Parts: sequence; structure tokens; C-alpha cells
Amino acid sequence: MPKTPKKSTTETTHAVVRMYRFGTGDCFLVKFFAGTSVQCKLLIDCGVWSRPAEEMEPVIQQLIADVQGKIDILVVTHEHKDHVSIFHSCRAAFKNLKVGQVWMGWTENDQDEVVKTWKKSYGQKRLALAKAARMMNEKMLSSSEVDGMKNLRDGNRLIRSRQHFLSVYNGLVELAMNAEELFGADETEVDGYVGMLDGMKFVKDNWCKPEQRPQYLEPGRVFPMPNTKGVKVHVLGPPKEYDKVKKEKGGVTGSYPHNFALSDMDAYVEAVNAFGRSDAAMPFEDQYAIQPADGSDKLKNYYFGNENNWRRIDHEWLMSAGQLALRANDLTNNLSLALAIELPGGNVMLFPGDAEYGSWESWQGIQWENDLKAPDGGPFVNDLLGRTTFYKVAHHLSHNGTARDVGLERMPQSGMTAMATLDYEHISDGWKSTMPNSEIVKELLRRTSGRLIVTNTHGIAMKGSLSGKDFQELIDDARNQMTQEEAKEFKSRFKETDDYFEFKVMA
Amino acid sequence: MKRIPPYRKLRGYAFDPSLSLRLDTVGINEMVYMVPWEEFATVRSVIHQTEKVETPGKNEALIGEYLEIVDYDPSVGRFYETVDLDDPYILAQDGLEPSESNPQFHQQMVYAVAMTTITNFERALGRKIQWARHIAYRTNKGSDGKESKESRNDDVDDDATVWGEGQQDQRNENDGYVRRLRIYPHALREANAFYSPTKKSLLFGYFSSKPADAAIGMRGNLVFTCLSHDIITHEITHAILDGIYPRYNEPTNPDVLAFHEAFADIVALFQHFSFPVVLRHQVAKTRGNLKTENLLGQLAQEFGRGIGKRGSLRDAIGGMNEATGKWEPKEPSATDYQLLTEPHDRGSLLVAAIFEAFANIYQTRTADLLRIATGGTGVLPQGELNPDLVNRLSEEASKVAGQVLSICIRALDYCPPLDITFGDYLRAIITADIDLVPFDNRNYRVAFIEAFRRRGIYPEDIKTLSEESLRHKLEPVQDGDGKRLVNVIGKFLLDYRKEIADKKGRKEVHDTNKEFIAHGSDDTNRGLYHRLGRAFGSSNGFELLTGLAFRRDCEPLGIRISKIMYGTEHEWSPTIEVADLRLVSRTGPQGRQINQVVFSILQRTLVSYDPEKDAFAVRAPKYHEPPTGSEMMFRGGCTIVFDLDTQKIKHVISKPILRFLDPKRAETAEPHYGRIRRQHAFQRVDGPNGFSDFQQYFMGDYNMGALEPFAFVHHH
Repeated sequence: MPKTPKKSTTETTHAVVRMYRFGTGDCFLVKFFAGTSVQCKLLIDCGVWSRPAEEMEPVIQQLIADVQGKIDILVVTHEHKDHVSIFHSCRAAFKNLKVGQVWMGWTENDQDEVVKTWKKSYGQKRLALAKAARMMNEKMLSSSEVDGMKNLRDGNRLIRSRQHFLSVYNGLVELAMNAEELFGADETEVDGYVGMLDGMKFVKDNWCKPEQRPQYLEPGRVFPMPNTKGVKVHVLGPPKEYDKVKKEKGGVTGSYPHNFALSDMDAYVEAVNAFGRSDAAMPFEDQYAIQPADGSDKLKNYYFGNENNWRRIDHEWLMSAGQLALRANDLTNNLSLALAIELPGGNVMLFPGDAEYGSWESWQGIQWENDLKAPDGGPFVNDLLGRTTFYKVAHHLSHNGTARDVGLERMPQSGMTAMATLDYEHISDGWKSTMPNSEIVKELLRRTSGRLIVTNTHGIAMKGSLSGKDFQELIDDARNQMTQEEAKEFKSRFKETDDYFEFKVMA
Repeated sequence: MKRIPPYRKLRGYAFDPSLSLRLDTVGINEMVYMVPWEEFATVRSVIHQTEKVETPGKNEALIGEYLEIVDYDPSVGRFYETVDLDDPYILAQDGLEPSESNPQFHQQMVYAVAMTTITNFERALGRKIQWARHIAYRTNKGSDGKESKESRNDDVDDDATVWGEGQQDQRNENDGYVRRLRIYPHALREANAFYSPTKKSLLFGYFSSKPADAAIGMRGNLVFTCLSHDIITHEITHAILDGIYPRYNEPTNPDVLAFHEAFADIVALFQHFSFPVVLRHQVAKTRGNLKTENLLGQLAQEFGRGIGKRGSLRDAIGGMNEATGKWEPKEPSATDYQLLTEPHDRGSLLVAAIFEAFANIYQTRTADLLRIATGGTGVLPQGELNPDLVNRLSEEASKVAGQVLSICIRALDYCPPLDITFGDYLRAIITADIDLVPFDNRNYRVAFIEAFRRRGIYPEDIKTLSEESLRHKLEPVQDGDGKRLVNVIGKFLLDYRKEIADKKGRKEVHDTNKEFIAHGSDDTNRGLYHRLGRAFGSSNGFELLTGLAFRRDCEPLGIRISKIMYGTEHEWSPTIEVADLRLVSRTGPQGRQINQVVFSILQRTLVSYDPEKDAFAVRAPKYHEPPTGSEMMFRGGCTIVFDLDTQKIKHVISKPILRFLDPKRAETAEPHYGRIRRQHAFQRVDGPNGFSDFQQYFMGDYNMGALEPFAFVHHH
């Protein structure tokens, strides 16, 4: 259980959400107020795709000063660099922060036996991701490879497409793991990757000791926000499916549960992890392989010969890692701790982390404490979505970060406010193809009347049906549609500085 | 005297290894493929381009006329010994025994199925198939003795896939002929297999099975895609189709890649019907009703279950309800075509339409048999069917399946050379069939039209969905240009038929085609490219007919002008590519004989789009210039069907690059904004355009993605 809340006699009147503008990456400070007095301070994530510490250090110090060195709750949604990196890069400053309690998804409970087993097998896959990265980076664009490709009609395009693939792939790996940890100075390899990102490690080492009673939350839980009155926290994700699978020995319904989702890559993972080792598992008995002792190797010469160089397939198999990386990435996103925070007046603030479609979909099937249902008897989450007045946009406005049918379409048609962390000056290359998604942008602009607040719209390339448009102009246009009163109200509740945007959410 | 046997018998799975583990199918899953006999070449003879000089022995690749199998597994760095199919012991027992654990059997299986597919194709097409060309730049010694590489530093668009454009290409002695498709049975460790157009190779993967539950299969079991008849057939069909229409790799509308997928599935499905034992078994099991659950309508059993589905990977007529685990028939809806965008999903619509047409024709044709067998009621009694009836029904099913597959394959000759839609394909099916079978007494065409209609698949610009309006008709050609064209190419194409008719070898056929398209610039010995260029350097009527630019003043329309040499003279003419020259010579079931020559003309332009004004600008690309920045490659083209007997242009199947504000006046031409806008919407809109995450992340821009479209599409 979360800490027994201190008795607060005054009902919460509003919350102020502050989005820090570090780049593409989340850092949200939420303060709950009763009138002018702060009841509870919540920090959600602190990470950014890639940015030197010294640029953020002063802002973090200011953040800590602003909260008088103490926050009540620290929420870490999931282990991706853009959500945890700053805990490490600005660790000196964070040493001075007192944290009342940490909340994470149930999948971060390292003492849990199910989680342990799963992390071990997942570790093998992450090891493969890192090893594949190393092999691909070494081989796929080596000078001999490039020379070979240049002679082909499509040579330059082939080279560019390989460069693109590697850049996106490396981005995905870097986002999720600390690859350096895998290969020590002596190049000895570890058995599996169990380690974690430095930022996550910092959080766990400093604030997740047993006596600090960190909370690993499961979907369906409902409890009061500490120190407030009338504020309720509803846990939506991470979904519980993989636990279910364990219990039912593979009984699966509908979509693929996530621990299973990667098992068809086992043969791949095995091959990458054992590549070059003598104990590598072979798909066939040795007797079928051409042994070096067989003398003249016509087949080998045929394959490696100059005439047929263009037909070699040395690296294509490695590129399957792209599929693995993407699915691992989705999986981690779906393990996001997703919270719906209900204010006393019934308004809901939705913080889904980077939950993707699979997680959103699972919310429909949550068994809620006290058997909560929507007024129409349907899933309770639809009631929460319908009352969402503040939405922290999942996954930086990507196409799969916000579910349409089981998400956005069930949110209010108007009057919402949304905040999204997206900044083309600090972003992974691979993300630009999917962020922002024009359809989601359009829908959000409509439902928020322009109260869509984005880290940094400068230079963002709009795609698809909005291609060529300027993001800021789109937002400004939408805001110009507001009535005078709406505009006035928005102005009074919105604050902008170089370091953050702030918005006041009424209870 | 020894005679060369017509066939080589090779054992293999009718479906895939999983059906040998099920009691109901174990008896039918192992069969003998009858592959046309061929002598295998040795590595040495191929490298030195000599005829076979030695018997293949150990450490060879399996090299036939069409295929070469190189069994290299890069994930473990191993080469596997190649099966010696001429070994007397192996010959004596119809090849190796089917086995998952013997890679040599895997090679045999891939070879047998791939060759069976090729044979079926050639039978339907009436000509030898060719693989798509591969262009590498030759190192040239310049006049200064220094090596230079043509176009080395340029990004190159792929006009060079055809010989026509510009004479620069003719300097390139390496004409890119690819005699053999290469097959790697163990190339990937993933639930994936694909055809690589850049390597002219098939790459098959293997992966650890993750069945939905233990009753379906063993978890972690290795599944080899190269042991699946359906997957092999599917992949090789991609390669064959690429050899016919290389531009079908360019996704310019949501149907293009879906068509590739669907066509590959259709060929795999109908090949099931050529296996008599399987067919009889399934006809008996379904009591003759092929619209109920049956193996013949399903694809890739083991693969589907291996990736966690409850049934096969794809099913033309129904599917497993994942919740109940029960098979349910799939009811088509008229909105399907609007809603499904992922290439396989969308492709499955076309597959379902064709399968339904087949099933309905079969049902109509067997109604009398059922009546005869049931004393006139047509209502079958309980229990098993009489084996004689099963045999007769199977015969009919096999015959109709063969006809439907032939119809599907022949229709390719009547398709546009690029930007195909399902509607275009329906029109091609109807047109091809009317040309060959004028009197449709068994209502085959109606069956096709109805099946397409039920799924909402309509061609554009058609007023009614009738046979009459679907058929490609020819508008009368303006200002005598039609006559001029006949003068220019009529006799020439007759010569072509004479030449090509006695070319037996595939390389000879290829060289002859090349010569008739590109060779010769003097008056007497001039290829199609020069003839067309000279005849239509400025032709209004031909523009209206083809929707392509044939005026000298073509650069404002975004078409490059090129210099064409005629002997020592030269002329300026709009740049065209001439491609896909082929002779279509067939006899229909009613004895109708057609003799046609078919070829394609293509043009391209570079388009940039201003979304603010919803306006486009075109610009003429330089030689081989690819799009830069936000530019988009936009192509137009047409397939011309010339009837040799009547000496007339029979059909012009066009994807116009120009549109005419007044359809009768060429001077009102402008770039075809409708097609440009549609391509732009598909390629640049990030909405529901059917691209997987994998494509969105890794494919990069469209130009890069077009290099290996199937590697990206085939991911699950």
C-alpha cells in the first residue's frame, strides 16, 4: 500500500502541471493545491534523448529548490533513456533531493520471482541486441562492403539505406540499454544483460530501498493521492498479461501477451549470442556441414568469389535484430506505469508514460478494486477517459503512442489540455519518421482548441496530411479559434518560461 | 539407346512438415514432385562459362537452368553439402526422404517446389520466364588509360533496368542478364522469407516456434520456411513477377505491393490443386464443398502456428476465430477494399475474390454430377462420398483450378507496366479472357466480376461493372497516327515473331528481345526504341492514345528530351523506356488462336508538391537522376497489345503521365494531377497507409524502401 495519507482537511482545488523543456524526453512536476497551499508534489520521470548534463544541471537545481528539496512521490514510468537519463547525468544535484516514495510498475519489482525469471530471459534478448549492434556496426558499412555496393546500379541508395537502418537501430538500442556494460575493457562478454540504465539504477539505489517502501503498482488499484483530499489515483498499466500466461501455461487470448511475443526470436538470439563461439548451437548435425578438411571448397569459392559478390547475404540475417529491437522497444513502452489521477471535481489527468496500443487496449479488461464500472456498466476506464481534461501525450505524439479507438476517441470532444514532449533538436533519428503523427495532432488540436503544449515546435517536420505545415502555426491557428473568454482563461492558467511550460488543471 | 527422361521424381512435403504429424493428413503430406529433367551445371562450368564438363561432385552448388541453390547459413558460418540429385541411390528412391533434420532434403524440397512453380508458369504464359535484370557498372578504361566508372558518383534512378533509354546504356556491355535465381534455404533466423530484388535471390529463414498452446505444437521447435510448399511458391512467384514487371516493386498506390502479395498467394493456392492425392482427400473430407474449411484454401500451416496463431498463416475463405479456436467462413463486405491497407490484408481480398470465383465456377460445373449421383435431388446423403464421385469431383476441381490459374497468369500480359490496382487486374482478366475465349458459355467472367464486386473492388473510370465496360477497348486513333504506327512497327513485329519463335534458350530469347528493343540505329536494322522515337517524335494522336508525351517540346511537361542517334544523324525526342517486349501466342479452348506482340513504354518526371497551395510542379530529370529532397518520382506508362494477324493495335492499357483538359486535343495537355495527387497521398501521408512500424522506422524514404520491398513487407 502507498503510505497512509496524512489527513488533509482541505479539499484539493487544483493541480499545476509543469513540463520541463529538456528536449524529447519526459520530466513533469505536478503540484496539488488546496487554494494557495501545496498539498503534494509529484515528479514523473526525468530524462531526455541526448543532451549534455551541464545544460540541464542549473534547471534541475532550480527544480529541487522549487520543491524545497523534497517531493512526496517520484513516478518512474519505464526504463527508457528519455525517461530516466537525467537522474544519472545530474546525479550530483539529485543527491540533494528527498523523495517520499517511489512508484513504479509492478514489472520493476526486482524481488518478484516472476519478474526475475522474465528479466533473465529478456536479458538474453537485450544482450543479443547489443551484440548484433556491434557486429552490424563493424561489418555492414566496412570499406570493402561500401566499395562492393558502389559498383551496383543502386549502390548509393543501398549504402544510404544501410546507414539509415543502422542509425535507427543504434538509436533503439541506446534508448533501452547501457551497452557499454556488456563488454568490459577486456572484451569478455557477460552471460546476459541484467543491468539497467544508469538513471534507473540511480533511482533504485537511492530511493527504492525496502525501508523506503517503494510501490510497484498493478492495474486495477485505486487509492488516494497522499496528503490531498479527494484526489484518487487509478492504476491502468502495465498490463498483467504475462503473469497470466505463466499461470495458465500458455493459455492465450486475443493479442499476444508480451513475454511470449519475442520467443520466436529465440533461435536468433541464440545465434547472435553464441556467434563465433565453438559451442554455438547448430541447426543441423555436423556431418552435413562442409568441413575445412574436405579440400577444395568449390561452393565456398563460388559464394565468396568476385563475380557473385553482389549476391552475398552475410549481413541480412543480422538485420533481423531490427525487428527484435522494435518489439523490445514496444514491450518496454507497454510496461509503462500508466496512471489516471482523478481530482475531487471528477476531472481526470491521464499520465500514460509511453504506453502503446497493447497497453491501452488492456485497460478495457481491468478488474477494478471494488468492481468499479462505468455508468453504462462498461469498462471503468472509459469513464475515466471520458472525464480526462488533462492528457500527457504518450510517446511523443507517435502514431502508436495514443490509441484511437480505445483512447483518444473516448476522451472529451472539447475542453481538454494536452502536453507532449517533442523536440527535433534533441531526438533520435529513427523517431522523426513517426513523430509527430499528423492524425493525432489534428485530433488533439481539435479536442484541445489549441491547448496542445509541445516542448519545442521549432523545425518539426509535419508529415502526411499536414506535410509542409508549420507546427507552431497550426497550434496558433487553433488557439485563434478560441472565444475571447476561453482565450482569457487559457492565458490565466498557462505559464511559459525557457525552462518549462506550466498549466493549471482545475479540480 | 538411352533417352533423357522427361521428369525427375523428387519426394517432398505437399504442405509442410507439420502435416506429417497429424493423423488425418500424414497419409497425403508426402508426395512426389515431377520436375522437368535437367542436367546440372558445375560451379566451374558456370564460372568459366563453359558447357558442363564434369559431373557435379562434392562441395558443389545445385545449379540448374533457372536456379542455383547455395546452402550457406551466415548465422553459424556454415556451408552445407549440396545434395547430388544425380546420385544413383538418390535417383533410385525418388530423391531423399523428407526430413526436417537433413539440410540436403531442404535443398531438394526448395528445388522441387520452385521448379514446379516455374513449370506451371511457363505452361500458362506460353513462354520462358526471365528473371529481372541486374545492373552493375563496368569499370571502363578511358581514352587516357585511366579507369573510370560510369555514373559512379551519381545517385542513379533505375531507368537502366530497360535498354531503351538513351544510348548510354548500350555502351554497357554488362547487360545485366541474370540466368539463375539464387536460393539460400537457410539465410535468416527469423519468421520470415523474402525475395531480394537487389540480389536476385530468395532468402529463407528459420525460427523457434511459439505455438499458442502446447496442443498445437512444441514450443521452441525449429520451423524452416524452406520446407513449406506455400512459402517457397509464394517467394518464387515474387521473383517471377519481378521479372515480368520490375516496376511493381514501387509502391505508388496501396494496391501495388498488395498485388505482389496476392498474386504470389494465388499461385501457391492453386498449385495445391495439382496434387491429385491431396485434392481427392480434401474433396472427400469437405464432401465436395470447397467453401468449407479445407487445406486447399489455406497457406503456410506450420508457419502460422509457429508464430502463435491458431491456424494457418492465411486462409482464402475463412479463418480461425482466435478466441474460440473454431474455424469460421469469412463473409466479404463491400467496404473491405476501402478499409484494409496492410499489403497482406489487402492482398487477401484479391486472393479471396479469385478463390471465390473459382469455387463458384466449380460448384456450377459439378451441380450435374451431384444430381447424377443423388438420383436427381442434388442432396448428398449422410456419410462418406462414393469414391467414384470423389474422383470425378476432384477432376473437375483440378481442371477448373488449372483454368483459373491460367486466367490469372495470362492476365499479366494485359496489365499496365506500373502502378497496378486490383481494378486494373480485373480488367486485364476480362480482356485477356475475351480475346482468347470470345464466347463465355460457362460464365467464368461473370464469376470473376461478381467476386470482385462483393468486395467493393471496382476499377476507376468505369461506368458500369459489366464485361463490356471492363474490357479494354481502343478509341479510334486520331490523325492517322495509328496507321503510322502500324507502318513503323507492323512488319517489324512480324520479324520479331519469326526470330523469337525458334529461340529455345532463355539467354537467346533475352538477347533477341534486347536487340529488337535497343539495337541498331541505321535505317534497316533499327530497334523498337529508335523506331518509336522517330515515328512519334511529335505525334498528337499517339499522345492522346497513350497518355505519354511525344512532342519535342516536352520539357515543360517534365519529360526529358534526349538525343537519339540515327547513323551519324541525330534527332531530339522525348525520353522513353521501352520494356517488356514479348510474343503472346495462344490457343483458346474454343480453338481461337491469338498472335500478339506486347510491349510497354514508360516515362518519368520529378514532382514537387506545395501543400499550402495544393499545387504541383514538375521538372525534367537529368539522365538517371533520382528525386532529391522532397521530390517524388512520378511515372506514366502503357502496355501496347499489337495484333499480328490483323496488324492493328488491339489494346493500349495506360497509366497516363499527362491528362488532357480536352480529351480530343493534345495541346491541352498538362501533368496528370489526379495520379500525382493520389501517389502523393499514398506515399507521403502517414495516416493509415498500411505501413508497419518496422517499415516506418527502418525503411527510410520511399526510394530506399523500394530496393528491398519484400524484406520490409514480409515482417510479421
